[in-house]
Amino acid sequence: MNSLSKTLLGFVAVVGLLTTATACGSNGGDEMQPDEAKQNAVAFLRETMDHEPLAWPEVPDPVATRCADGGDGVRFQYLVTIDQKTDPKELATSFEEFWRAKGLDVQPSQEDFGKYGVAYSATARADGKPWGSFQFSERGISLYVDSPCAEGSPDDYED
Amino acid sequence: MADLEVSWSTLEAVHGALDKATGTFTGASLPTEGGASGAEDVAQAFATFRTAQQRSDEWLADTSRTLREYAKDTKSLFADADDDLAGKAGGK
Amino acid sequence: MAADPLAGDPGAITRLSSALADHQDDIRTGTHHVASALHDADGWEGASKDRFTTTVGTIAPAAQRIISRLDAAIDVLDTYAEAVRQIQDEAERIQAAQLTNAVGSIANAVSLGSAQSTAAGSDATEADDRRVDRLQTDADDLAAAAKRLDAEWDALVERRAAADRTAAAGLTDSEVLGVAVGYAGALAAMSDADFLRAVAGMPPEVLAAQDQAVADRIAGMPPEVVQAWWDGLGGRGTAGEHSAAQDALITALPAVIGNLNGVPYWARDQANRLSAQRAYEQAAEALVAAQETYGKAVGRAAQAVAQRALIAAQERYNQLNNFLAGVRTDLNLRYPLPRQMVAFRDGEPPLGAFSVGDLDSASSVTFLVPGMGSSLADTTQYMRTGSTVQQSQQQMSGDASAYVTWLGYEAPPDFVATGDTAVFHEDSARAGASTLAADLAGVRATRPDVQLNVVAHSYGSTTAAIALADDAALRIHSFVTLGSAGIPSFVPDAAATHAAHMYAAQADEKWGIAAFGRTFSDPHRADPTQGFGATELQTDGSNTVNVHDLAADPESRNVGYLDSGTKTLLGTAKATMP
Repeated sequence: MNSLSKTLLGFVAVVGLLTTATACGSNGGDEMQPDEAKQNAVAFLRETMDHEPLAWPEVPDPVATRCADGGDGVRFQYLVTIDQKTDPKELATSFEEFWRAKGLDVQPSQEDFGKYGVAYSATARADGKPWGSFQFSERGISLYVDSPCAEGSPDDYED
Repeated sequence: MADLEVSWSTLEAVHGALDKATGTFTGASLPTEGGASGAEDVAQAFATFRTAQQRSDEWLADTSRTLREYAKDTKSLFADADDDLAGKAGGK
Repeated sequence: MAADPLAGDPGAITRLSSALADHQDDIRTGTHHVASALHDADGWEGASKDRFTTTVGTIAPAAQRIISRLDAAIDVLDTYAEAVRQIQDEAERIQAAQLTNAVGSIANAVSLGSAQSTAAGSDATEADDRRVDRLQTDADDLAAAAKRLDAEWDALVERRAAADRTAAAGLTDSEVLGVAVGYAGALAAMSDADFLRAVAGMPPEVLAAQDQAVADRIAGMPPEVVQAWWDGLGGRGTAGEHSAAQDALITALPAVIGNLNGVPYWARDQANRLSAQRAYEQAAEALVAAQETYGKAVGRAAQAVAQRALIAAQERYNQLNNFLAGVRTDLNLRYPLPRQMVAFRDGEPPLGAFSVGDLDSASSVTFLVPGMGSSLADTTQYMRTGSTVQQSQQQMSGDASAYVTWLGYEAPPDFVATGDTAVFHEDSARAGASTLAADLAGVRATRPDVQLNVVAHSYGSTTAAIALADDAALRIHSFVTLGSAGIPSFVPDAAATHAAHMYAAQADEKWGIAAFGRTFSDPHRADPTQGFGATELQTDGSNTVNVHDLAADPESRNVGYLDSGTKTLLGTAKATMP
């Protein structure tokens, strides 16, 4: 076997181990139950919405999606949107601060969409907790919450 | 959803009837000649006829199946509408 | 070969005829169910009903035609059975007579020989002579009878041959087949224009019965010809309102129409749903059969074979199941969008493409091309990923690009999971590129002015680069690569892709999967973010995207290229904005 193949096999072994370790999760292999994961997410979504008095709609049904490429588990993604004129920069700052205060790692970004104005977005992550993300623009609001990974598969939630 | 003028139970009935149609067409079998004629040209002609008939049968099954799925898809729009309405009414 | 008057079994022929009569009953039963459906659908009105009405109306008349053709076949068989029976009876009579004649001839020959001896003897009498004469006459009569019987037999052989010819001709008459048996040849000899005209004139169930050669010829027609032909059959049409001829093509030749450039996408969608649904139901049955076979397998060798077959059957089932799930899967969109199955090619593995958005009317169309390890089993996941970009666009302007989840090539296996090194080579990309280019060309042909984009992940960018470089006429607006597995050297820079704008995002991935793919690529592939001429898409507001995936694992703090809230998502949304 030549050295290139050996390197390849070595790489596979290392990444294979890392992937497995990550897929098992930081809580040692016991996946959360779907209901609990959803409750966590909804609670986080509600308190996020509550911190900013806007014309929020009701909490919608989530979309079930994968936890990781090829891995096991299901996560639930909630999307709440409002079409209304906003000051997106102000809102972005407010949400970033709120999430940082809750101990989440917040990474903001923005993009100038020309005639549609500037979009402000951010991701908010924490170990074993629901995630948050948003996109704000002059035209409205998108607020996402992703639940922690739960037992099952997105296939279980297809019609 | 202005163009959805039909009841859920209507679509349910339509779906059910088309499911039966699809099953009937799919399950309809054709005989093979199996040497009944003892004549090569007749056996070949029967095979040609049988192939054409089988494909026509498949068309009947496919078309019924397509309509069945369409009724099912239209029916599921109800489920979505229900969810939307429930969400707006009571919250989840 | 001469006909055999004794061959065949009239009883069996009659049973064939009865079986066909039973078949007619099955068709009548099925048609009654369709009639019930039509009756039940009385309370259904509106635009959604139009589509139903157009198609359901084709079934009863077709069934009636089929039943009439079966009547004709039954008549042929009944007539034939009777003819064969009579001929066999006659044959038996002749053979019996020939046997009697033969026996008589032998007996006569013996007697004659003996009488001739006696008549030649010294004490022969006149009576002996007369006896010889009589026996000689008998011999002559027997010979004449034998000759007559031979002639009758030959005539019977001819009669049987005629009966066979009549039956064969009857079974392949246009009254039974719907078209003349030599029609395939006639079609093949026609010019393209005449051929297309003839095809469009056929009843759907007869069109469905034609040779594969007909489908193949249509599949080979250039898009301009197809478009003109289709429009000539009743206009572009819509899912709800289209002509009977268009409906016939969709239902009779779904595998062709579903992937035919020049056909509007509402029609491709209907055709592909038909094909995919049928393939799915067959795969479900095959899986059950494979499970049963595995359960019954005895011995290690048989079990190993059965297990491999079961795994293959399960894989195919999963792929078709998830592809069809795309019809109804939930998506987090701001405003709902229609969905279209824009391509479906059954095979090993089955391949296809599913759009969120209407390709016939969207102001922008974007093909999302995934990388290694992808298959139809990932359809809904990629639709969700695409919908994240679309939602972002909807927020900004109210409109979104139609995102096509394009799983139209056999992607190389996931190297990390399987150790298969195909991802380091170009073969899969080259094979996939021609299909991708063809599908992009299909959009360009039917929508000459639409904004057409490609967003490609990992090895999908390798494939897409080859496709785009091959065809400048595609007029791609934005080509976005995310975590590229590298661009082949014969596409030396962004300009070579012919895209008006090229963007490349390459995050500092945790395990450097994309980089690894490029480093060990053979032939070597380049990083499109390094000196390639592509605009680098920022992956970080501040070091955000850090894994190779498009959507990351929530057990960690990992962030994927198209996760909501990321800079790359914004960049991709902007690049593919209608």
